[in-house]
Amino acid sequence: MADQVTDRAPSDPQPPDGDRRRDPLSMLFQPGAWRIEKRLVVRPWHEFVTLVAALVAAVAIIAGLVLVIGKSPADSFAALYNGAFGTRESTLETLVQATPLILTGLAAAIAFRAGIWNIGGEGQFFAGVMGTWFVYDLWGGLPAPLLFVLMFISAAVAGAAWASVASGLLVRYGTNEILTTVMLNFVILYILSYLLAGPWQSPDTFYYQTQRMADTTYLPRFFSVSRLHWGFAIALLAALVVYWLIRRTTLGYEIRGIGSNVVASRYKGIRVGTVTLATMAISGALAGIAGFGELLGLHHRVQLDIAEGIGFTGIIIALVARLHPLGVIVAAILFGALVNGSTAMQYETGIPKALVFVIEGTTLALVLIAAIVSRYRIRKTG
Amino acid sequence: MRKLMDRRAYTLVTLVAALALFAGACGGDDEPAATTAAPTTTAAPTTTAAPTTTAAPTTTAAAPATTEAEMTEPMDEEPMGPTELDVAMIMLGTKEEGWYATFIDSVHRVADEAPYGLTITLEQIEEISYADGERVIRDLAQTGEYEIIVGHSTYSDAVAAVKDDFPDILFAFSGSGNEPTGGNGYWIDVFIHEPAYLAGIIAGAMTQTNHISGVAAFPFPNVNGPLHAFIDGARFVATQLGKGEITFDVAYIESWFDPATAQEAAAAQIAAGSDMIYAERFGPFSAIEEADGVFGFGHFTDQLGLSPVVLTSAVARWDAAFMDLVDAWYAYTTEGVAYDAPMERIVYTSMVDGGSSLGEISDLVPADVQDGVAQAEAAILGGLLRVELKTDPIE
Repeated sequence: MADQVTDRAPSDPQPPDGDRRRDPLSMLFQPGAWRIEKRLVVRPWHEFVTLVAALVAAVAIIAGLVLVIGKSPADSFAALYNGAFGTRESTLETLVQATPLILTGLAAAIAFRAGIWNIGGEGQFFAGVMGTWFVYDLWGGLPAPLLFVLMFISAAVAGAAWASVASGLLVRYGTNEILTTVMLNFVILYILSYLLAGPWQSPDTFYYQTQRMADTTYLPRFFSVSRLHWGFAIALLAALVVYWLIRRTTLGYEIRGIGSNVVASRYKGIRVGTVTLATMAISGALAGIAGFGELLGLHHRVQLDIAEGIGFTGIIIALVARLHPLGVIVAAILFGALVNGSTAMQYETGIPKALVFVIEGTTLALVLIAAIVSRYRIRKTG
Repeated sequence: MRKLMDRRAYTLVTLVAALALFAGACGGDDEPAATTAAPTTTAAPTTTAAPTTTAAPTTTAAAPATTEAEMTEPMDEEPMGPTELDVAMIMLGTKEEGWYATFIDSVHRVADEAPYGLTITLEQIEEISYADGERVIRDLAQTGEYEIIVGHSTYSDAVAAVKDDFPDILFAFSGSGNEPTGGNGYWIDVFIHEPAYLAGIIAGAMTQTNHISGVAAFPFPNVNGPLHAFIDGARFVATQLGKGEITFDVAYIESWFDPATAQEAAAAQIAAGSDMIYAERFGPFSAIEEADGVFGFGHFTDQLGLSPVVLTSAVARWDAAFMDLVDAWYAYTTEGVAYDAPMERIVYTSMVDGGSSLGEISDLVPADVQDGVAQAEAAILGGLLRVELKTDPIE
């Protein structure tokens, strides 16, 4: 079918034949000889091949950069791999790093599926952390199971509420959600800064941090040799739930609908405003749960740097995973590996950590380019 | 300005006597802060000769009992202690930032002296957030390559989580916001309020507007200490010179590294009439350079070369702190002296202890002011002047 639609006669004028014979390069780009045309059907293997090509290109570019700074690419990649997967402990630590990224990746993916550009995962993550601490601060003496449930709910509600500020403004006033979600990241950080300098501040210090939580509130760990905690299971479960939600429920259909064509969806009877509010609430709740997991699974006290860009990295992960909930798991593990392995790469090869951000950026750019390239093909028509 | 300097000349001559009086007012044996302790050294051998004992805890097999034959054999050479010390250091920011750069410089200075004949190497790991500290410190410890691992910021939670799994490694962490861990986790700190006080003397003597400022990160003890001392020094000398009340304001930019915001804060302070700015963070100098008659003061590293408007800097030195860590590790390794970190931070506060010093002074500072500063510095080093350490936030 694709051939029938795209196999159109070139409309551009043909250059003289003599020119084409003299210059093979110009011949390649002769409008009449070759053309770039859009595929109507993008098959999985198209995406797979372009993705592999993108990753190969990324590796080549990164190797070139490593060579430029006078290091060995082979040693660097080996150190990166060993740091991420070299031992059982390092592999488990990679999963630890992936845990919050899965959740913030899902948060971005579900919102982007609906065409809502929620860039506020970082702030919603903080909201989840604050929601968790809020309950602990008030009712820390409750029995552990009840306290866990309350903290979980509070984190999800806080994340959802913070995201709803942006979606409420979007639905009611048409405010650009990119701007509001980005700016709300800063707003909540300053609110937290105020709380950590005042009511929540540990009485032992002027430092911006709470007291350490009681060890009864720590999320259980799977293995004694690793920090991998139950938050990872929650993240996997969340990915399955989001997958089911998007693929199997009415709301999921409506989310995909307004993401594809909001005008058509509205004519079809979908309540776009309601779906927008619901989607952002779910998105914020997922990011908030990431905050719950990080606080109770790893950090056990609230500090300003507890997020480490987890919310922003979630956006990259969602895009790399092509907004697929299960793909988010794979992408998050890859980025977790990059974070985990980069430290070993730094101290084993002396490569500055800044290169890790270059690796992330290069990979993202090429994977996104691959996503576009997979929709096109070059075809000889002359 | 020249007229003011002339008028000031005779008054600065009397500075030492006045400082001595001030020393009485501020002096006493007060501890600098409730959380601090006098610098302590561990039970380390003070001689540099290699100890003869070989019961090193790091050896996996117990040393066999000395046999009679061995005892009767002549010793060809002294048993050797360790010859290498590999240190790893993780940082919240980059190694160019003052907090880390000064520690790196100190390690290099100590390494140059080769204590105990050791070859000391330093591995530097940048941009490790507090939240990521445990993972990285554990990674480093698991390599088995490092005898001392320093989390050069608020990494006590990370050290507390890791230290018991690696009892042969000495861990250290530094600065405000930490909690003591004891055992093989040492909490070190420096306060540079004394050289900041000396910088304040220059500011108080040279200000034309009687309004001075500070641009700082967060209202934390390590930040507040030098700011308080800076204003105290300025106010003291202004009083001596009869210049009237000095007003002071501080802008906390809520970041450890945000030169753009720091620059904006300094520009606002200059617009409000400030002409002497203590730059606790990077950034203010570019704003100061654009104004006339405004000068800046560097913090933690000697920043005279960074900008022509810098008059001097309050400089931190970690040499004594790091040397104490080396001593503790060496004593443990060679003599089996158990790590026993105090349950409080070990503070290297004073210029006498070598915890801080005043940086180079710009030629823009008049000679009589420089003389006054030199006399005040001598008073501090001689114990005549004690600069009070105040760590509470500045209102």
